[in-house]
Amino acid sequence: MSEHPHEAQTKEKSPAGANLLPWIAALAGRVGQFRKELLVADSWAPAARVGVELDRALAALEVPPSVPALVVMLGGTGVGKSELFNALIEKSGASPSSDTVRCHTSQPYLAIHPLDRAHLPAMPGLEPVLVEGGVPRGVVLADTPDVDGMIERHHGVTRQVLERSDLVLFVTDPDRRANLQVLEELRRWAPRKRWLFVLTKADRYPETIESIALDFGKRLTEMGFPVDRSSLFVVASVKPGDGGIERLRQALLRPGDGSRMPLLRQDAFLRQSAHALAAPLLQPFRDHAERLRALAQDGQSRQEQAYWQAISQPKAADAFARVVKQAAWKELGERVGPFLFPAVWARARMQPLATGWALSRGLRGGALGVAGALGASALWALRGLGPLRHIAEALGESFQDSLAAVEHDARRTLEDAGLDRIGVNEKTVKPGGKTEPPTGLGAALDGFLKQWTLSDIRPELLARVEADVDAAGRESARLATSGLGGLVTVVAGNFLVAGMVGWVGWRLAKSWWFDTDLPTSFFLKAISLMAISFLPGLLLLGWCVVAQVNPRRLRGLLAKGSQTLAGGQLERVQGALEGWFRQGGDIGKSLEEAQRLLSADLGPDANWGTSLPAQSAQPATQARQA
Amino acid sequence: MRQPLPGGMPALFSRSNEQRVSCMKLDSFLDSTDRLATLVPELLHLLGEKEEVPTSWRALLERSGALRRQGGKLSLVATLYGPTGAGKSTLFRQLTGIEVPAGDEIRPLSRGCAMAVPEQWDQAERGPALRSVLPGFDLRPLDRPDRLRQEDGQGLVWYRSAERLGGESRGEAGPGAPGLFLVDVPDFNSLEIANHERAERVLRRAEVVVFVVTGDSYADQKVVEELARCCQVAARLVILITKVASAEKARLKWADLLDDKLTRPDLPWRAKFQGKREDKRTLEEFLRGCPVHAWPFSANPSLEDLRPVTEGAPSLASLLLGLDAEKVAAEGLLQAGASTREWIGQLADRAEAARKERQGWRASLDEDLARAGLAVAGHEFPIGRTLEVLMEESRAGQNRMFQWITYPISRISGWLQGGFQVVTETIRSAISQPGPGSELVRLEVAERKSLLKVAEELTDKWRDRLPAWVGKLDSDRCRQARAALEAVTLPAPKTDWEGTLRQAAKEWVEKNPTLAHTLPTVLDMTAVGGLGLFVLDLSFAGGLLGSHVVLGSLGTGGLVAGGAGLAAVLARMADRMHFRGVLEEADRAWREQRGREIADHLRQHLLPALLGEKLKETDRLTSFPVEEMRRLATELTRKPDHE
Repeated sequence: MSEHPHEAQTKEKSPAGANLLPWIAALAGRVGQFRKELLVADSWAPAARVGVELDRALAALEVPPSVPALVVMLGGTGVGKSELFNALIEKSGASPSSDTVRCHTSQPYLAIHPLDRAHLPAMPGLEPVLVEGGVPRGVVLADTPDVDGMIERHHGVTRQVLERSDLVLFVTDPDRRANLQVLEELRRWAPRKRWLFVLTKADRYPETIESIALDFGKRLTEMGFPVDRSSLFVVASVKPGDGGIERLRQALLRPGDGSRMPLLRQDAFLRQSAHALAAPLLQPFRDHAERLRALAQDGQSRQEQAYWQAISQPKAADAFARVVKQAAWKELGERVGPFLFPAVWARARMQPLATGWALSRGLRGGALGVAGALGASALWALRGLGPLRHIAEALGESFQDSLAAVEHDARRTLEDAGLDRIGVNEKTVKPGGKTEPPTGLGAALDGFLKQWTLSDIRPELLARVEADVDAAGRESARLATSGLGGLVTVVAGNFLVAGMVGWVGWRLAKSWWFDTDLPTSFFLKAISLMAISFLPGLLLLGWCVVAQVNPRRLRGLLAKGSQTLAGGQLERVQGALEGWFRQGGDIGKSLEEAQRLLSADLGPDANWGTSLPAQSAQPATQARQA
Repeated sequence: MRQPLPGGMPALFSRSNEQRVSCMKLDSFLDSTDRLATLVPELLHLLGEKEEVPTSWRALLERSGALRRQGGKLSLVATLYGPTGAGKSTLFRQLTGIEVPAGDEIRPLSRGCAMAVPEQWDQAERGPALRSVLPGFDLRPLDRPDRLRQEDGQGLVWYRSAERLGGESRGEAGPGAPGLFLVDVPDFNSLEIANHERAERVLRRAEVVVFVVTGDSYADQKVVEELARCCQVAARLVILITKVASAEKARLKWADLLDDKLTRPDLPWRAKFQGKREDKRTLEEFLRGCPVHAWPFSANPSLEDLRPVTEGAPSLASLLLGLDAEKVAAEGLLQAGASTREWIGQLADRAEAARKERQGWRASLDEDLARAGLAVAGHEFPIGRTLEVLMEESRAGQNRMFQWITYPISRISGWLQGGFQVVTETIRSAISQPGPGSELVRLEVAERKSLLKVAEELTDKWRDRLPAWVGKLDSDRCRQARAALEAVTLPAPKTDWEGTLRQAAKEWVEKNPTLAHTLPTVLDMTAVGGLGLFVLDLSFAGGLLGSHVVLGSLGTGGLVAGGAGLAAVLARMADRMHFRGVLEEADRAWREQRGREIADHLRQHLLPALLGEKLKETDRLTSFPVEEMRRLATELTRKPDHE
């Protein structure tokens, strides 16, 4: 029962870690880590509240095991706390009481075992009166001032003592058991403590006291307490040898043993943490995340709307159509059949080819070559990037304003909630990931020109425009080659080229078979006719593309391919809140399970008072307003 | 809607010589109350205070309403008021003989109010008269006791007649005579919070309060707060201390409250009981003068045990029955008025302080707007119009011969000017890059950009620094305000500033006749003069006359220093041709005028959406008749003149 002094001293030095059960230490680590993560959201009331509750829970583990259990009385003025205190420790007048003057007790009276005095923590400012004896070692019984009287200083004194308590004795009498102010005080402390309930002055109502106790129990049950005979006591303090007092003394003033207090305080940690992470306190996290999700979606749709408005402006739409046509030629290669393919491929790459050719001429061909290369580059810049610039510029003014407006709204929404500090340092994650950059001379030149001409445009915006251009190009290529017109174009285009190829092949085979030489004019004629045979197909395809790529039909072309712009801080905060909700809920479940296990470990001692189940963290006296 | 005073009203206060008053004065009292009933709620709304309205104010409204409805037959309402478990219902049952739920087994016990009415008042035809006693209450006959435990949520009053009160006959109370209506109300401090409002509602109407408190709860915070409230509103207050060991113990407890707890300098209660009543006594003095009764604890309580603490004083029932209904009712009205007066005075003080504060706030908003307007205007310089005016003035100074010589150039320039915007636009859209060369923008584009930016900055500033009474400027409201601003086009600048410019240009032409001859030709040749509403975007150009221009002071900074691109060219030209002063004048006049116009625009389109309600409230507060309210409040305490 009593531990070796040296052992006690060692434990004193390392109060927290040394005596923790390993699995509780692990849980304490998780709770501590979670609390640290919540610090960033401390200016948001629900997070601050959970944080404070977790701090309080963790503080329970810091109390050295040698500190005796503090049993504190809580009750209104004149309910008989001092009489009960005196009766329990069997020392009449130990805490002076009066039958005429109320608010009589103005400072705490502590009944303490002489050997526990050295371990009693200091209570600065409270000036407790120590009464030696009447309690076994390991337990301190405290009589406190009222919490509902005219003298408000009394309330503060009692609250400070309550803060340190391990078990609270809620004391009331039959007349005042429904007193709101005292029940509110009980409600405030309910989740944080273990409780015993005492109904005094039973001798006044000998006939009805059972029904009164039943009514009181019902009220406590409404508040969420699982109350039974082991936690509710009916006493008559002034009656010598009262059975209720004796039963209470048996329950309360048992000699403490060395192992009980650390376990009880670990139980306090588990209980308080579980309350802090129970559904009622975590629900605001989810609710707010939902709200932010709705706002983010709204912002997203506003961005989209602005994007479409900007891109539908005549100049931008024309430019868009122009680049989409180019993109469509790139996509057409795969769809036009084997004979038209070389011509379409060459048509799609005509500009990079010309640039590459001019550049290579420039590298070898002196001043003229350099001039040619520059000219080709300029042409490329104007025909390729110029329109892209048009689009981006169209998005530039009003669209940038719209983006800024959405960002302002998001920032202010977060500021309103006090959540603006979350996720400010994280980079925006772009949905859809990043595509591999193309390689090669053309691509390098393309990249250089882009950097030179489009450097002032936001990269994510440019990426969006380019992705949309590609998507529209694919779609228009598909549309251009499908349908009757497309089919006729592809068949006719390929047939013509195939016929020409066949004719040339036939002539070559014949000359080889008969071993005759073909004149040079034949080759010139063949090449010319081959080139000409591509033309109808190309022209028809061009017409099909032009028919599909209409500035007014851009939206239809993009319906499938468009991707949305990347999300911002709103999404990050929403993610953080949802993460905390899930993480907190998980830890809360672990804590509740651990509490059950610890109760089993504690054995009969675990019945030391009752406690509020975690899920009823806010017992509602207010509910009766309805 | 105010009802006219019934004909029987003068008789009301004319029964005793002391209380005889003129109808006119009473009329004026009720008129003041009516007017205040309109003004006070409006002022409370304007002040945006969440403070609870004092019971005395609401009592004044209730009692004056009852007075109007009852006509000449004024009845007295007495209530048993007290904390949970004090024994109010037991006392009511014993006093009136009406069966109501009482006992200790359930707490709180009552949810409704029980009223004992004089005999025959419980008959159906007396319904309207009964309702005039407690106007606004839902009155129903009490058919069975458990009605009072019903959860009605509205605070019904269940009535039944009681011939006697505490065994004593109600006396002359005939069907037409006024009488005493005793109401048992639920507690004011149990966890049944709806009870508190039910109890307080009756308290506001009741002229007589029997404050029932147990010997153990006399020093409860809530109990003493309610006691103070009763002292403020009740015409008569009787204290009953229940469940004590003896009358002597009750006396000692009461003495502890009066002589120790209420007078201790370290407690706030002393001050709370120093308010003045209608008869100039303090609440404490009034409380000391109240009769105190004791009802010692007994398993079977009986009225015989209830006795006054002071020997020889009348019993509780006699005390209640002996009251002069009309006199006490008049006192009740005046008491409510007197208690209200001080509060209304404080309200008027607060209104004046708030008025000053809000006017200051309004001025600070105007300053912010003016600064914002200057910031927008300071970012632009109207280059096109400035050069046009300069050219016009120069041309006016040219002689005819010179004009003939330069005519072809100006003609060609004129043609070019028409197409100039198209050309510049085309070039810009093909090759433009931000920075040098692109600072030339259309006025509405430049202004729109700056305006939105400045509006966002203003919004953020106001969000951070709004006084507490304005409340929160949440993101939704900011969004609406921005949408409102975006929806309207900034009006084109007026031409007033050109007067100053023209004057400066004229002076320049007079001082520099040679340069003035050549300037139009130079400008014609460069075709710069056709810029119309184009401005130099100084935020890109880095300032026309030095970067400090943007900050709103032209000063004498180096012309070339901060300039870039077109700004630098213009600055160099201004230096060479000595028309820098003209540019300075143009810049100053432009900023002053355009700044004002933009500030007005923001005032009209941003401010109302952001703070419209509060601005209207501020305007209303400025014109609120505070003095009238003060005058009306004094009417409430002016005792009606004796005949």
